[in-house]
Amino acid sequence: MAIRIDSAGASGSESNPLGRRRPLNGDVIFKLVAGAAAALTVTLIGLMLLDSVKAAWPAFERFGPDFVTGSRWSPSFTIYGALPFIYGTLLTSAIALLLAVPIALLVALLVTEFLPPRIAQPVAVAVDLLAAVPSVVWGLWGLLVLVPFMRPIERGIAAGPGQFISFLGPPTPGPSYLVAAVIVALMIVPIVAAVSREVFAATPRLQREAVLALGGTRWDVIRRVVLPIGRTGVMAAVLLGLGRAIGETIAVTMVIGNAPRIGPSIFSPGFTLASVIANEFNEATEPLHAEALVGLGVVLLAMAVIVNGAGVAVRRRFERSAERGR
Amino acid sequence: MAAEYPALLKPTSRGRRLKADLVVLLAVVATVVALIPLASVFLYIVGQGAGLLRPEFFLEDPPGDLSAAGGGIRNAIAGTLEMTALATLMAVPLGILIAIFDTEVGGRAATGTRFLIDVLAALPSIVVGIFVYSLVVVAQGHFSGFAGSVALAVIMLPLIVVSTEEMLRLIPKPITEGARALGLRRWRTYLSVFIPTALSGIFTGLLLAVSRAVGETAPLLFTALGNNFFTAELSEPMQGMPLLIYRNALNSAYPAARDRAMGAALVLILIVLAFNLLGRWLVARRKPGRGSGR
Amino acid sequence: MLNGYRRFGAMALAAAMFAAACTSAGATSAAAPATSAPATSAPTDTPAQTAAGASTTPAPVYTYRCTKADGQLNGAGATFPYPLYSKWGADYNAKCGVKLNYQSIGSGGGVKGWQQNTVDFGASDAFLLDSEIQAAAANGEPVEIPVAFGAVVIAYNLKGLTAPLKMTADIIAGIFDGKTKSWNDPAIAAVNPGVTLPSTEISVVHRSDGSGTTSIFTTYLTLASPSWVTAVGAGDPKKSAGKTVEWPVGLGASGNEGVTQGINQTDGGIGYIELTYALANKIPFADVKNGAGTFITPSLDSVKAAANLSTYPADLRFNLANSPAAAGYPITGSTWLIVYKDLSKVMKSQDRANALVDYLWWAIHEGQSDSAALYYGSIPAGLLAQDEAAVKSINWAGQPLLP
Repeated sequence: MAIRIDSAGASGSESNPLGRRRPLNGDVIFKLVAGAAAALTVTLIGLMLLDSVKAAWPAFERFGPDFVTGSRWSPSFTIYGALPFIYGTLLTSAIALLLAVPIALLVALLVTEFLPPRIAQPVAVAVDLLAAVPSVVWGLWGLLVLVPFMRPIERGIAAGPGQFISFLGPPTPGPSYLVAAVIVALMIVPIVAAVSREVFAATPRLQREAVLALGGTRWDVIRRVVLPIGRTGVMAAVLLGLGRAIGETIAVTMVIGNAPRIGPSIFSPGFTLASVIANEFNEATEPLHAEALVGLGVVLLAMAVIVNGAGVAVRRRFERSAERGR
Repeated sequence: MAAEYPALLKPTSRGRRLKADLVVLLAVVATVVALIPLASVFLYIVGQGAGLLRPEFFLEDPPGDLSAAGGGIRNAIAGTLEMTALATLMAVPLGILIAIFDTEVGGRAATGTRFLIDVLAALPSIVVGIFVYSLVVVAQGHFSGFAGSVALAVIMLPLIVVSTEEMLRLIPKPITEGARALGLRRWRTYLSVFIPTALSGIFTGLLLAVSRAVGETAPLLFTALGNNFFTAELSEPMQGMPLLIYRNALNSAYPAARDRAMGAALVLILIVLAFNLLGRWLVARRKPGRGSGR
Repeated sequence: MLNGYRRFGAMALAAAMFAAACTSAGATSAAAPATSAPATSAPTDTPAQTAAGASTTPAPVYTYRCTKADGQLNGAGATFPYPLYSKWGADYNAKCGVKLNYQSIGSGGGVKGWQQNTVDFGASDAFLLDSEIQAAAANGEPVEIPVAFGAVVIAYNLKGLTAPLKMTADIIAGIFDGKTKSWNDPAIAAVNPGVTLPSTEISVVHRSDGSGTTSIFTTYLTLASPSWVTAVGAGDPKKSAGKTVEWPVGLGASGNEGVTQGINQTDGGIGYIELTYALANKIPFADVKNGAGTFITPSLDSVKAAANLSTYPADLRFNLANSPAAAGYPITGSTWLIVYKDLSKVMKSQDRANALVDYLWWAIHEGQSDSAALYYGSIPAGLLAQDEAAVKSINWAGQPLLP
């Protein structure tokens, strides 16, 4: 069969390297169908985003930047400021990360560095199962078991160091930023641990064995090889966890105390962006209330996109550097 | 090697050994600290809900009168299964096609699509609920199980896209090249070669997505509303297990309703566990390098 | 007062007897409404009547059409009457085979569902504001039907007390706006002589979701305590329904259940919940001073006393807070079912409209027999005629649905 090389239109692709012009056939239809699916989804997502911004626009227009910096949320007076919720989201996420990341990293290290594979596997699965508990069940357990457990601890701290550091002081009703942070931490430990496990397992054996050969302990291996090389990967894991922490809704709303104020201490009740939407959306009949809540959703979405985007970027950098290092 | 470089082999100092042991200890403590709440949640829910798991619990609907004992959660189980099934039907074909698009067409279009899928993955589930509320509920004029399914499908979609893309990327070159050598058209290759090869990975992604969707409450709050009766009609409001739990588990005025919700919590956690473990088992079987013979 | 009880008892019993005879396939038209003229009694020996001798009217007869709708009827809204509405759903289903799904998502949710026509009827513990009616003008006018009355009690968790605490509006306002911080505050002690109050810190629990229960509570505080109006201010019945208030202190919890939980869990906790929840959980609650100056214990009787106004406004939007009735509990509220007047614009079929109206008719008559057992006040005799007129005003493109 003679091959015609058409130099005029010689643009090639995977399936058509010589760039021949083709009649409509199965491949083209296939690509069109796949493309249509993608286009449909993209359109829908775009529509949803645009629709939300449009719905929230009256609130943005009315308050301007004060929407984000205002600290008063009062539907009955038509005053909407998102700061208490942004504060709550950031505070609970920060404390959750502070609690979860060391634990998750230690778990990942245990599984990849210290335990023999036959024990490591079940332990890894067990920690991953933390992610299998539905959010509403965490919330239930949090309210009925964790809050009564933590209340005396909170009271004790508030009575002690809390006298001098108002951040650790009263009120201590039980449901609080801290309890919400603990629950969220429990939910992100499996995510951070799982990704970190992959990261640590991907450490180049050459460098790992080099340290051992030089007489290093396993801790030296970790300190000098695993952690430095896995730095970007761990950062990606943390960002993934943070993204989840920001958006957690139901478990948080059951244990955070639902107070639309900036609480003075970590034991105060508060609110996060996600939990206030869950609480108030169904009944938002006051003027501009629904719009303001959708606006909170847009703010939340922006935060989540930034965090997740950063996570993806870091993860890609890690993958590329890991490939190079092998 | 040891014989050649005796000078390097100074015995490790006791201090460093101690440090290493300390780290191990810390890691063990951390793991235990992480696992205690897991055990606690299980024990608590089992304690609260185990007493309810009679066959009637799965076969009957809740009694119309809140305070009456007995009855079951058939409507909630059926609702959850039905909405999740429909969500799967919507999300899986779409997700696979998008993953194929990304791998096949590539370029800027794929980057853009991947970005938007990442945005979708980053969407907090409550925001998904609001979106679907204005998109479906207000447009249709009533709450419905269908709206709930749409919300769940939106949540499942990114998970399916990502896991399918991963699997397609992992298909070994020899298979791709072999298919081309045989003269197979691209779409035929996908249909007969790639998808079957990636199938177990796709299935795992699906299982994980389903286990996520089954446990989600927030998307259902503004879409399915909830229903005290059993209904198979997707155009009516539908009960879901997370909804039942969220609305009733704290109902101290009516212990019977509360007990049913706790029973539902136990059933839910068992279902999610089952899907999760199944997914993991499949991954373990199919992991490249574990001698699966690919 | 006693008269109303007996008449009501007779009506309910007769209706029940007739309903038992009426099969679900029966399509007889609804009977004539109750007469208000007292007549000499034909003493029917019913268990509902205790003392003999007073006059009773011949019990009016109600039959219920029991129109079936395609599918089920859906309603959403207040958590306050949820126990009652769920019992109604079960009873009406048993009687007429019509499924009624009610989800308690909060009064605000009920109003919104009605406005956006995503439910067949909404339920709210606060009547509609003019602005809320305006917002739904495209769909039509509302018909609001008060169907039950209940008490919002001030429940607390304090150890070592033998009798209920007494409270006035100013004390309550001071607690909930954060000025009064501990239980042994002199203001509380002043109205509770002889009671040793612990020095525990007061932990306020309030609703975090938009709530009619909150609305009843804040309306009372607005009417009864001038300091509340200046301190917090929401709850002005004209400006806002007071469903969502800017609470200066305290924990927010979702639903009556959540607040009950919060109070139970905290020593020194205090919150406002519906009477049924307090009784079911055996939480102590306060005696509150009413408009007539007496400390009243919340109970079915004091609710009924407060609910029994001499006249009711034509649009059935009224407040029962700060009752001037001698024995009336001051934090009493009414709860409304809200539907559109002209159902042809918002419902899919006339059958569904008929089914809805039949249910409403049943609810204000036979349904009322469920109220007492759940500690809700039933519709007073003086209000029933207006409620019936309201239900009858519901039409399909101008044609009344109930003959």
